[in-house]
Parts: sequence; C-alpha cells; structure tokens
Amino acid sequence: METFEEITSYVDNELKDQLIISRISLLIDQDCMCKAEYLRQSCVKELLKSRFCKSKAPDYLIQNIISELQNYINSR
Amino acid sequence: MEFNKASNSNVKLKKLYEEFEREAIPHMDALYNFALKMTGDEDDADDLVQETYLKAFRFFDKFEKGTNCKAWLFRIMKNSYINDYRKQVKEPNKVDYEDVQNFYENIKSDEVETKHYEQDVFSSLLDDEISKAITDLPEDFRTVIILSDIEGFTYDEIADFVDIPVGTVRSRLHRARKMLYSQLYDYAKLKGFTDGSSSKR
Repeated sequence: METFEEITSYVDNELKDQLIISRISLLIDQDCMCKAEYLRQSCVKELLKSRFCKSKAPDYLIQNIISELQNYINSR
Repeated sequence: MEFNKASNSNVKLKKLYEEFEREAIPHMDALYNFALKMTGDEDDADDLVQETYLKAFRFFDKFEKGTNCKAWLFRIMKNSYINDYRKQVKEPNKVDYEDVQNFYENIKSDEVETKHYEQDVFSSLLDDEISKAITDLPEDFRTVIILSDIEGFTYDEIADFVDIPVGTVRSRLHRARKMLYSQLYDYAKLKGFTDGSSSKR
C-alpha cells in the first residue's frame, strides 16, 4: 500500500529523495503490479488534464462581482 | 481636512482595486470551476465565487504580494464553503471512510494485465461522463483530485488549504484516482469499448 501511494507521488513528481525515485522507477520497470498501478494513476491524471471541460465563469457573474466591488469602494 | 482624509482613503482603495483586478480577477474561471464541481449547482457556485471575491478584496491589503494569489483565493473559498455553504445544506456531505475503504478493498490492484492501460480505453467516453464521475466522488476525494489534476496545485499547497497532512493528500489522491478509474472503466464497458479480457482491477 505504501509503495502504491509512493507511485502516486512519483506520477505527480512529488518525490524529493533521489533514492526513493530510483527505487520506484525500478519497481515500475520490474514489477507488473507496480507497473499497472503506475499506468492507472498516470492514465487518470492525463485524462483529467486533457479531457476535463473547464467551465468559464459566466459574464454576468464577473460583472456582478466587479459592480459589488465598485459599490464597496464607493461606500467607503 | 475630513474631505482630504476620505479622498486619500478612496484613492488608496482604488489603487488596491487596480492591483486586485490584475492579481485576482484572472483566477475567476478556476474558482468558478471548482465551486461548480463542489456544489453541483450553478447558483450556489455563483454565490460562492461572489462571496470569495468580496471577502478577498476586503482582506487584499493582507495578501503578501508576490505569493501565490490563486492559492490564497482557493483558501478563502474553501473557508467560505465549509463555514457558510455546508452549514446551509441539510446534511453536510460527510465522507464515510469505512465505505470508501470497503470500496477500495474491492478494487485493489490484483490485476496485472496492463494492455488496456496502454490502449485509449477511455476514448469513447463523453466529457460529460468524465465530469459526472468526478462529481460522484465523495467530497474529500473530489476536492484533492480537482486541486491536483485539474488546477495543478502541489501537495503542499493542497495540504495547506484543505488543512490536512501531506500524507493524507497523497493517500486521498491515490484512492480518488483509483475510484475514478473504476467508474470510468464501467462507463467504457457499458459502451462496449473494453473487450472483456481486461479488468478494471
């Protein structure tokens, strides 16, 4: 379990210790379970990055906020 | 004299607003996107973003220039969400970690077939299905996966504004991706994409 979570950190480039990075990298190359975990984590991460549709803040919301801020400034 | 004082204060505020417009307003899409995913409702998302920006402006003189404004705004939004929005909903969306653990145990990695990871097994999925799978995740898991994989925050930043240890961020992220993979795999299977020789496990 700990190793699988380290794979998550590896995918996210969050491991700082070069020794751990090398160990995880080796495990991914040599252990099919670790490789599967690596591929699964990377797959979801990439999918969200490339396919998730980001909604844009609606124009009326931007206008409302700007207008509220102006009112706040003018009231001071 | 009084007039000069008021006038100076107004000039200061206007200057502050100009900075705010430059630093904070460009992050509105990211905040709206996060609010929408967290509340699942456009009106609630509007309210949450609006409240966040008004609060942020009131405290903008406390914002340390040159630091990460987006992270600062997300932290304000997180507090508004927890303190205000969740109090208003009938039953705050608490995560039953036992349920999650059970679910997780059922999809633990005992499958070594990796061919399907290398194929674009999810190419048949609609963007809406991906979005729904995220929305269906328990809140704590949804939060970290949006902040990490969609907004690109580091573990330290996420830990800071969700107020959990970095190890918990990693653990939730690990499980969130696993749950998401499993859900998306089911969608792909329903569409007949997978050949049955591979498994979500």
